[in-house]
Amino acid sequence: MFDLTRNYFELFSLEPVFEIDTALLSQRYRDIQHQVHPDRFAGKNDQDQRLALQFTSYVNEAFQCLKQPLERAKYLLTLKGVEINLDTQSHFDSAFLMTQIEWREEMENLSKQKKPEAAIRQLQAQVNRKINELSAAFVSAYQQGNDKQAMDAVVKWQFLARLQHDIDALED
Amino acid sequence: MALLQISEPGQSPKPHQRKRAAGIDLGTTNSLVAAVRSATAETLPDHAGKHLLPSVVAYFKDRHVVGEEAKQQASENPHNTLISIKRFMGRSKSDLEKSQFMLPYQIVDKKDGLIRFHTDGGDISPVEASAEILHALSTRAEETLGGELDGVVITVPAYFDESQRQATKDAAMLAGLNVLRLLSEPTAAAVAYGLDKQDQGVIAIFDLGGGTFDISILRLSKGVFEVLSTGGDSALGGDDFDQAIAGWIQMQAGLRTLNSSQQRRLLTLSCQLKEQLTTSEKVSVDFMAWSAELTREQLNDLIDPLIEKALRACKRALRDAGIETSDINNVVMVGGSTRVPRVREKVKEFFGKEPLTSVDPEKVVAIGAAIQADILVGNKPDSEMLLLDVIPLSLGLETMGGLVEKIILRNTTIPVAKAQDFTTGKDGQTAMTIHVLQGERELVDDCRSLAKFTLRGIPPMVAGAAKIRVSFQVDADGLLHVSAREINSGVEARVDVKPSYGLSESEITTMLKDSFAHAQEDFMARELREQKVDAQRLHDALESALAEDAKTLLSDEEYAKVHCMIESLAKVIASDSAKAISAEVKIVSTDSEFFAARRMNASIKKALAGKKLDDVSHA
Repeated sequence: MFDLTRNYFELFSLEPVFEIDTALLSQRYRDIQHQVHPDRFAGKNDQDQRLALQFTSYVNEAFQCLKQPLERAKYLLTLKGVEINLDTQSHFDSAFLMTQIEWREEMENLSKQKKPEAAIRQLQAQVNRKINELSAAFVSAYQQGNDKQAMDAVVKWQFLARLQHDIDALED
Repeated sequence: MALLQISEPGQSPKPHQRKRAAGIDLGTTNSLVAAVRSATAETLPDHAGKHLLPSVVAYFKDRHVVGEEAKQQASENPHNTLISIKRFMGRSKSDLEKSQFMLPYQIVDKKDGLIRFHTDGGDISPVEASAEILHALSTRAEETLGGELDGVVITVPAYFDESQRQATKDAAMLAGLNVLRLLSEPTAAAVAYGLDKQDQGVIAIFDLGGGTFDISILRLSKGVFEVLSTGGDSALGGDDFDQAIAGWIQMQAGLRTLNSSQQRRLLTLSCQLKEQLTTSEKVSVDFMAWSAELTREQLNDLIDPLIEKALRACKRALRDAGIETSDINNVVMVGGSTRVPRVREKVKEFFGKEPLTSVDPEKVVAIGAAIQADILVGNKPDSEMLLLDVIPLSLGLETMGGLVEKIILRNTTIPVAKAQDFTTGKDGQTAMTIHVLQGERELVDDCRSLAKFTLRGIPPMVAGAAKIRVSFQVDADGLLHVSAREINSGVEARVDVKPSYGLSESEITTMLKDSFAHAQEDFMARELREQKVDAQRLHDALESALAEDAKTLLSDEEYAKVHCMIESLAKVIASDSAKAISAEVKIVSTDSEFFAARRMNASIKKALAGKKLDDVSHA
């Protein structure tokens, strides 16, 4: 029934690449929402309301995915038929693992400090730099068609995204 | 074959008729109703000219009163007078035990965990009391607008969880209202300020009401609001300021224990003192033969910890939105408690910006709701406004070891659908209990339990072989529906989850019958009328769809089929059987869904087609 089997990029009329114009994505997202959002059908019959709900849910899911770089990267791999296994961290090189452990330890220490704000920001900056490196690594591997390397970058990236999330939570 | 009538493209076959719609701010302390009249949205006064309806209901043996009258007799009759009931919407008894709130009510102990207050008029739930307030306001609107309301928009704090939203919707159903949308209060406030007319900007809505605090960060761009993040505290507000003052008086005066009528008087006095200190620097306090002076500075010290709590939530909301205070273009003040000078000072200091206060902070939410109600009911078909909302708290499922697996993260734009696969833990397992939770914590015990249901009849397999897909659907009101399905066998439990603290459909029906004393015939007549309206809507929608899109989207054969459906609908609408109408609507809905879906796809293509030139320039 739902002709939205087309992929997320097609939905927004975008080329399936990592570097997308996010402003254009947001603009198209809004254009589509104007057509399908349940608010457009609030006084209408149940069928229209149900369809509007389904369409909008799909459009939201697609937008959330493409909007976030990590999710977009994973989606690009999925489109190529690469199965993403996030439990492959055992294959991480030892340098990456060491940095991980150091950062986690630093985080533990920060959580015990009284005024950790400045130190938290510093740690966040370090992690962000590494994430930027990984996203660049993903792009070049993906473009060269090296799926294994692209996946390796994504899995590490996911790992750091979690770390980043935990560091952010320290601020509460 | 008879010739078919086809109306002009783009024109509905029925003449345009202005519909009656209202916006309702169902507040903790006061409630309001507003409507758009002669192109302006304004709050509607009662016969005495008062706009605010105190959110107070008093129950007597044979009758009940709502609003000012109920409030006036509150201190003489504390057990029978329900105030600040919004705090109890969708809450369980155990929630109350966790909070430090002073309660003058007698809570009835019930096995189901629901809160009911014991009054002379019976055991009353927060949903029933809220329905009375909604009923009073909708009656006021119907009298002012001259007829039955076609629909209402009711506002809820952005931070309201699933059970609180469901309880609000239940109250509206109980009051016999057609809810067009539950709208978050801060979004309504932004609409009231006309901020949607600005080209773009980021807005912080600081809403400190009687019982709830909300902070919302909205981005608007060309008439579209997007909620970037929400945060707050569903148990923080002006009532807490009163409590703080009351606590101070009690301690200073050395009053250990107070009876409930004294307690109520103390709270009323505290509230008056707070209001006086908005304009005066100091006030004198007299309570039970004790007197002293309270200065604004002392008040500031008492409430600073509470304001700090609010500002911490602001900080979190900014972080969730991924922005800095300097990115904020406007700060909007909402709620009576933002009149407190210290609150304005602290907010200005935090955001580094003078907050907007020109629209009455108590009316601003109702006004925004009225503007949206007018659009949703269809009075402004050309309106560009569209509100995109988010869920305030993550939704998840219980997994092994009492842990919660999050399925939909907070601040995800709604409506949203997500599915997650689970498997069995034991060989030969044939049933699985699905426990749905809401909250940010990792342990089941720290989250709110929304619903539990069991999927049975899974074919026995070795552990881990079954594949159970659990699907969540959150609608545009933020209400959740969950279903579960075993992929290999197709065994399904399509349960529309009713949150544990909501009411079941049948309970509502019973209550509807009881509480508004509809005679059985009235009730059936109403049901028939509703079915007819529903069928007519579908009929009209199909008719205009055929007129607009038949040529491009349907084959001749499909056209004939849809036309047949229209005819059979018209026939059944003329009958007087609610059952037959409802059955026909169901059949036609299913059979014509392909056409509706094609039309929606076509509208997306059309919306993007105009942008093809952009593609080239961006390539």
